[in-house]
Amino acid sequence: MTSDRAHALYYDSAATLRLVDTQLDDLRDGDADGLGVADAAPAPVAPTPRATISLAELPFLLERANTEINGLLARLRESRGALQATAVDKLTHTQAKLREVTDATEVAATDILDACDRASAKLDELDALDGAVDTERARSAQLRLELRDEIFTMMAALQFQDLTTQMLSHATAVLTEVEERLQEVAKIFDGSAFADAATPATKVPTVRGDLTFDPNATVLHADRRQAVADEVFTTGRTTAAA
Amino acid sequence: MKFLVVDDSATMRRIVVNALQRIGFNEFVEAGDGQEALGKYDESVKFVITDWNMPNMSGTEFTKALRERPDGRDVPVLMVTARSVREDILTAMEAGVNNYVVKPFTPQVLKEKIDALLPAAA
Repeated sequence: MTSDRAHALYYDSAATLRLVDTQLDDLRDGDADGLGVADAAPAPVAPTPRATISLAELPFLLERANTEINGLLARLRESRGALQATAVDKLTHTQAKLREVTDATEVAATDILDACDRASAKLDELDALDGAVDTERARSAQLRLELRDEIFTMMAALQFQDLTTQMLSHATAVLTEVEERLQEVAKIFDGSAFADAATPATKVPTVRGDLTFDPNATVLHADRRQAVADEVFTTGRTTAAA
Repeated sequence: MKFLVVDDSATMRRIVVNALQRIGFNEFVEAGDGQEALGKYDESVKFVITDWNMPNMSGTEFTKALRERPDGRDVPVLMVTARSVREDILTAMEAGVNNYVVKPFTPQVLKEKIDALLPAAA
C-alpha cells in the first residue's frame, strides 16, 4: 500500500465516520424535538442546522448508517487483504532467500574446507620431497602449481560473501517495506501511535528505489545463467552484424 | 596491460584481481563504484571489469558514460554481476558492455571471456 493510498483510505474513512456522526446527531436532534428517543447526548461543539426528523425516517437513517459502516468495513477488509497478500508473497520470497543464504554458507564452507584438506595433503608431499634428488624437482614444481590452484579455489568460493550480502540486503529491504506498510495501516486506526516513531539511523534501501543489490541474486545454477548470458551476447552480436 | 576493476565489494575486487594475476596480468587500478571508476579511468587502462549494482553510479551507467568519452569508446568492458535475467543482460549489452560473466564465476569462465576480448584491448 502506498502512502497516497493509505491517506486516501484515511480520509475516506474519516468522511464516512463524519457522515455516520451526522446521522446520529440527526437522531439525537429528533429526540430533542420530543420524538421520544431517551437520554439525548450532549450538544456538539459546532452544531449544524438540521431539519426535523420524524420517527418514520428512523429506519431509513439506520439503514443508511448501516450501509456506510459496512462500506467502511469493506474498504478496511480490502486494504487488509491487499496488505496481507503483498506481505505474504514478499515474506515467502524473503524466507526462501534466507534459506538459500544458509545453504550457500554451508556449501562454501565445505568447499573451502575440502580445498584446505587437499592443500594440506600436498604440503605433506612437499615436506617429504624436501632435500630430494633433482629427479623429484619436477614433481615438487607440479605440486606447488596444484597447491596454488587449490588456494585459488578457496578464494573463488568466497564469492558467496558478496552474493549472500546482496540476498541479506534484499531481505532487509523487504522487511523494512513491510514494516512501513504496517505502520501506514496502523496510522489509519491510531495516528498518534506512530507520530513519534523513530526513524532508522541508517537509510535502508527499499525494494522500489535505486538498488545496490540484485533482488534475484543467487549462488545457484551459475552454469545455466552463464549460458543465458552467452546466448544473449552471441545472438546480439549476430543480429548487429546482420 | 592495466585493468580497471570496479566493484563495491572489496572481497570481489580481490577475487577478480587474484584471478587476473593467475592468468598473468599484474597491473590494476580499483574503484568502489562507477563514479570513482570514471575518475580513475585514463588511456593507460586497457581493460575494464565492472560490477552492475553499485552505489552512486551503477555499472551500466558507468559504461554508458565511458562510451561517451573519446578515450573510452573502444576499451573492452566485461561485466561481472549477479544479475542474470535476460532483459538485464540485454540492457548491459545496449549500454556498451562487450561481454558478461555471471557470479559466482569460475576462473576458467573469467579467463575465457578476457581472452576473447584481448584482441580489442591491444
